[in-house]
Amino acid sequence: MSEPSVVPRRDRPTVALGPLVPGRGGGEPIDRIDDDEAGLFALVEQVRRIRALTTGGLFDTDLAPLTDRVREVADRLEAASASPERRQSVTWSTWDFLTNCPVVGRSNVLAPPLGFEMLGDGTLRAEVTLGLEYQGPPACVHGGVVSLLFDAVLGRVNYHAGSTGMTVYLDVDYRSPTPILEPIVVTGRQVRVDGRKIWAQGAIHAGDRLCATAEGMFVTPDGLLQENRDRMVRGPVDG
Amino acid sequence: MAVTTDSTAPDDRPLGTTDPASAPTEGTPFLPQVDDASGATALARELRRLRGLVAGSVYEDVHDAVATVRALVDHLEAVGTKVRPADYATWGVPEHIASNPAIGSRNPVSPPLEPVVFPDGTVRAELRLGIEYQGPPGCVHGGIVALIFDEMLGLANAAAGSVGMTADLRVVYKSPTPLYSPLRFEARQDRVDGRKIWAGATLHAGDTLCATAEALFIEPRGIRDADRGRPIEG
Repeated sequence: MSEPSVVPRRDRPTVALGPLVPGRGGGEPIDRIDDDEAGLFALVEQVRRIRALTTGGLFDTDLAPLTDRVREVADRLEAASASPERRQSVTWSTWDFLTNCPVVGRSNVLAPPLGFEMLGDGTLRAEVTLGLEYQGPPACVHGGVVSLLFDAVLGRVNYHAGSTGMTVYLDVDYRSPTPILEPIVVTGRQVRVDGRKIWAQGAIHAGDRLCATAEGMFVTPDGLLQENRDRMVRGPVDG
Repeated sequence: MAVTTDSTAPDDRPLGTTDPASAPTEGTPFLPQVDDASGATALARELRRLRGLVAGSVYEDVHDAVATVRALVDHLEAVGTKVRPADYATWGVPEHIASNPAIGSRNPVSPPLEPVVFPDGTVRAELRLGIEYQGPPGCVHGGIVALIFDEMLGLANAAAGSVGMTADLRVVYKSPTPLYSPLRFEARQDRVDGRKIWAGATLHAGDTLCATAEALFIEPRGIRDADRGRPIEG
């Protein structure tokens, strides 16, 4: 290759770390949904335990009999479950989408889940310890998981600041490895709103060490969310 | 149909527009993962099914299932040996790929990915994402798009014989990424300068460009030649 191409890159966003210092705490718990009458959160908690084991465990025994029993559980749930379309319809008509969120959701197996607190100045903060199932490089959180956490915290802090939108860009700067198996602190805050455009910034720390920063720009969608939501509230067209 | 992207690649062809006439349509499986002999992969598969059934669901009572699964986990804990992170000191050992949260077949958190590679080094993965990946109504969560991009970019580096950790990742979202629809991620290494590695990626749903990504990776100091070209996560 003779002349390497140059990818035009935006400047690194300057993230104001002052409000994002990890040691602040004592905020009000927010986005916490504890009602678990049906036991769904408890079920997902148990699945999370398996999640870590299948990922990071070594087994000399044949797991097939266990898999069969999980399959039976899944079969029973499937028989009792509404279609995915119907479930979407229900979650969005009741605004009960937080429990489904892949980062915060207590009924989502993908979610760590994060539990947020809201600080007095509008900064959103969560402390979490991620297990082997979130590992990328040895002993580090996967870089993509770091981005996932950022997109979620920025989205939620925008929501609580009163203007929310869909991500237009997300820039993540990785400053040092984010560790698994030790507590990390995820923070986010909205920094600017200009018409439909919204900017938010975030940081992840391990102790006092800065692991990553992020800036996202979000735009309040014109009607799209409402359209989607209306359609889902109406539900699928039954044949 | 012309598809434009922001990614500039070393050749003129934008990512995500692999010409079917000039490239094998199937590609070559890249880092195929075989099922773990213990059955852990099959177990992860069932857990993924469960995952799709519980997210956003409303059930009257699942306490029986809780008891069953709790008993299973207790048993799993008793018969399994947990691997300490220190034991993952080598990049790209089979256990490491399989446990990856984006591509790993043994990790119930991963979609997973089954990438293919083309002769020009482009890595492609096609998949559909279910309700547990939802962000905005009917759309894939933006952070999930970023998660898969990061992995795809790492795979593109691996296909080009590089090893790197993400230094920065920039994702631009062009249009909503639909749930349940066939999605196509493509990534390719752009250039290498010393320990710095650049790569770009696109995400399409049909002909619609949903998002693009570009990232800078830094090769860790002391990486061994034997590690190059091994799948690198994150």
